[in-house]
Amino acid sequence: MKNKRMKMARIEHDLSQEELAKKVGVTRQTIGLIEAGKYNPTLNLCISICKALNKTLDDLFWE
Amino acid sequence: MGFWNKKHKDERVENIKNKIYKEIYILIMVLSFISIAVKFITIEMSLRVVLFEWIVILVSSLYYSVRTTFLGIYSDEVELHDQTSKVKMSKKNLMGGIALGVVLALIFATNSAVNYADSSQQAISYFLLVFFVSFIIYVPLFGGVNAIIHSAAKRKSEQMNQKNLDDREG
Repeated sequence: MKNKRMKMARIEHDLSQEELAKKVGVTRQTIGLIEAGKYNPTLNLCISICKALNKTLDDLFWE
Repeated sequence: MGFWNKKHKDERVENIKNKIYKEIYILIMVLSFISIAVKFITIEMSLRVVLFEWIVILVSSLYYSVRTTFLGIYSDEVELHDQTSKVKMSKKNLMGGIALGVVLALIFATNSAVNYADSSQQAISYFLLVFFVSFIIYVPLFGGVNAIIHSAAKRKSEQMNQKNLDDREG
């Protein structure tokens, strides 16, 4: 399932996938795949993304 | 300072790379067994000609066993296996050792009967004698060794798990 909330949060922060990837320390493809719902990130990566986007785990990943 | 910092790695890329490494390991094992079979057929059936393949197989198997034991995942594997399988892993290991002993006894007995007997009567007696002696040597040996190694590895792995838990709690 697509993660639209993460995409919206990224756009709110005016970040491209590449910029967010750089902040979190992963590749652009990984961010793209998480947003497309094709890759399940580990909790550590989820936390890094939440910190980078100033959101909670609930905001971005809880369904 | 920056020199010593570990470079951040993409977990997805690392996972895929690990998957490829696992496939490479299986490929190397398969190629080693094929190489042994081919050398046995085309050159001769002796350990000397397949020494390198044996080293590759034994060292990598040993490395895997030691690492899984000392990282504490051997006992996890046993627990997962025993949760889903009707036959416990300890029993499977013991049976595997016994089966290996029986197979070796059969090979040695057949070899003696075929290569050293002069008559069919002698072949039968050689077969029975060598089979019986090999059986009483190899079956307890491999069965026992397998059971002891399994039990020791499981205990050590459980200890390592407990140690990891204690470290985190303390």
